[in-house]
Amino acid sequence: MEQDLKTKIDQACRTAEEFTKLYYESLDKRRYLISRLYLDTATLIWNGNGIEGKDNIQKFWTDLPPSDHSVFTLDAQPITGPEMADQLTFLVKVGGQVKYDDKISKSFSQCFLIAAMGDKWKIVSDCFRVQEILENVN
Amino acid sequence: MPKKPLRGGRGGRPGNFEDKHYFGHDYRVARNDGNSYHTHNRPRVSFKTQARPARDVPRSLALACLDEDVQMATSSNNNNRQVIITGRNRGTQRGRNSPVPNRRFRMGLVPRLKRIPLGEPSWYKITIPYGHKYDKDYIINNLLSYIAPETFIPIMYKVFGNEANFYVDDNKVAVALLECDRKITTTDGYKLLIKITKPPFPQCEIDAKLKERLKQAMAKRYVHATNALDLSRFHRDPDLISDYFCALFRPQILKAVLDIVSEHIPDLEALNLDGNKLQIIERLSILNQKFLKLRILYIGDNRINDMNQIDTIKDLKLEELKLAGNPICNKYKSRQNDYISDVRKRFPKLLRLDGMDLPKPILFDVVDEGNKMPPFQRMFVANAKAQQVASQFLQQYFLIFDSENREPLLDAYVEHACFSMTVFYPHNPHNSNKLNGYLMENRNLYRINDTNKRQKLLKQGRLPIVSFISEMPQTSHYLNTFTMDISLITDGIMLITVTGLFKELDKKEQPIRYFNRTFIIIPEGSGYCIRNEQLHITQPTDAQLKQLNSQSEAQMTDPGSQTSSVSGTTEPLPVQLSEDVKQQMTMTLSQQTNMNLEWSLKCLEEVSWNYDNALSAFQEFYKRGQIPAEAFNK
Repeated sequence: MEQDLKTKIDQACRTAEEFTKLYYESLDKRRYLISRLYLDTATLIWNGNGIEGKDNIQKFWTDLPPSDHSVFTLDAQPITGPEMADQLTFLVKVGGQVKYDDKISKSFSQCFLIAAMGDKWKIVSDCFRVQEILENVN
Repeated sequence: MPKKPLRGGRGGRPGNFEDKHYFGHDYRVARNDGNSYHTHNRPRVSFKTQARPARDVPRSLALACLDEDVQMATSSNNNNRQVIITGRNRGTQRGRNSPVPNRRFRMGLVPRLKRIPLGEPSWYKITIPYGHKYDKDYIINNLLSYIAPETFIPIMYKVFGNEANFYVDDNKVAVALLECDRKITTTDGYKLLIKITKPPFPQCEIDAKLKERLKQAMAKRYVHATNALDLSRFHRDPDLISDYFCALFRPQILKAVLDIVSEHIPDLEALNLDGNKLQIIERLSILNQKFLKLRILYIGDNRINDMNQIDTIKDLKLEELKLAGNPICNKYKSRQNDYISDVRKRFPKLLRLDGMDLPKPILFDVVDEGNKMPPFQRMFVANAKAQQVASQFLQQYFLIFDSENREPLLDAYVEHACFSMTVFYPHNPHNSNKLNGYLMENRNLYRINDTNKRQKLLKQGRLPIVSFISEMPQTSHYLNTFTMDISLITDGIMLITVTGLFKELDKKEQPIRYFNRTFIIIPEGSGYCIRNEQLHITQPTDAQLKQLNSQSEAQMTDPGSQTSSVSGTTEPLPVQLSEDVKQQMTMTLSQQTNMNLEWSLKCLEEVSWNYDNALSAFQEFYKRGQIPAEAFNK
């Protein structure tokens, strides 16, 4: 059991490395393909704006100005426990900086839940926050 | 402020000095309307004052003018006694420093044709010996009536000893004033003496007092409805003119003024900088960074010489520009189309130039990226029930986390929970508070390649986790900066991400940190427990610190708002606290204050369960010795 957990931790780390590389490359350069990374029923929360479903997520990303992400920190954990059954699910956290068309670098952090669906990893949920002040009205 | 309506039409005193020429060179070829102007072409002589060598002040003015012209005049003609013969049909032609005002074209139909030499002085100091004897208004009115229809506004009128001093911002006015020397007989029978010098720019320290005055002066120049600020001829502002020479052509003053504007109206849409004698507009590059929404810019009647100078501001997405009245426009006077096209090269979206509508630009049909960013929201939660659960959970969690004893958090984690932390420290010269204390535990997979180290940095099990977080610095989280997103809700688990600011209390400087923290919580017994947690810590941005400071200042100056500001801004938190939470709060307060549970409960009830208020109320009454001994009986 303990050995099993260790294996899962290793796998989580390696998968996260591969995943983030692919994810940010797609987002910055091949955004029209980004939805392939998401589960059909995935949720994206972008700075407090919630988008549900793979197609809506594709549309949201397509409409967003071009981006340039630089990733500096990465962390990953396996989610275990009876409620997960045998489903391989990892929690991934990324920290970095992003530039949109205003060319101003802003820090962001992003959290993913990714799960193995058959032989593909899919994003179940994606939560993105730029580090910026919020007006109290929101 | 007396302002004569017209500056043109020198009907007043023909043959006096308006027909003097100092230099043979004349670029003012466009002045060929010739009908309403003086057409007599008799030889001109130079400054009358040159004939009075004993008085060196006028000479210095003349020399100053001379110097400037020598720089410019390509036909080297530095004999200021040069007699000038003007050709026929060219109307009145005069040297560049001619005192004759040249404002006939001012009304904007034709770009102003006045040629302003590079480096023409923008200020002169006028000194009136024995001016202390007279009232300011008396002197100014006399001068105004003598030089009429020329007019001027005295800047920084002051009396030092027995001299009165002031500044003027115009070369022609200076010459005209010089003409008044010994011409005006005062009430006490003396002739008014006038000296003119060209000293260094009067020193102007940009201190808090001046900034306050600038703010006042600008406030009345701002139109809220159109989001427009009129800073035209700013150094003549009646609110400033008696004490300051706030010339925007001075870089420090321009910067100070624009800094104030960007601080108070960062979303400014229209800015008028007409008539500020701006010459080196490179300094306006500050507009690109600070005023992203600026759409209308007036920089007419300045001294911009070259179209390439405009490149400094070409990143502004201008829709309207006023450039008329700059020397640059003379270069294009017969090539209006080139003018428009050269300006449009810099501002492709420009719709109006110098008050004229331009044909709408034809652009390629690409996505207009400017407005595509969705506005940021503080919270996203798809389900009200989940929001309530999460809010309660987080309130309780951070309450204990911020208390002196984090051990009760043992109950917040499931037995095999996982916790890890990453730290990112962007280079920020303003923020010297490094995150060194956390670096040993930074589980950044980009840096930690060793499998064992990766295993070790992942805290597994509730005891290792709570003992780890117990060793983290003592904190105080700013609930009003929190954001909360719940990105997954199933029967089994809930995925909550919180971001916000907290203060570290251990260190003397009490640094502020930004965090992003994800919890996976699962139902356990009657409540919820953490299954996985990832904490990311970094430094706050300058803007975040600024907002935090302004919020805490507002709280401090208005103690009455404290309750509402704390509970009012923690929107995600439900007003109704569960009994569990109340019990937990009571216990924590009791631990922190040493009061017994009964009194802690009483205290919390009195402040409607606002923990911070309860604590400060306790401290207040404790200091005054108003808490009875029985409160501490356990």
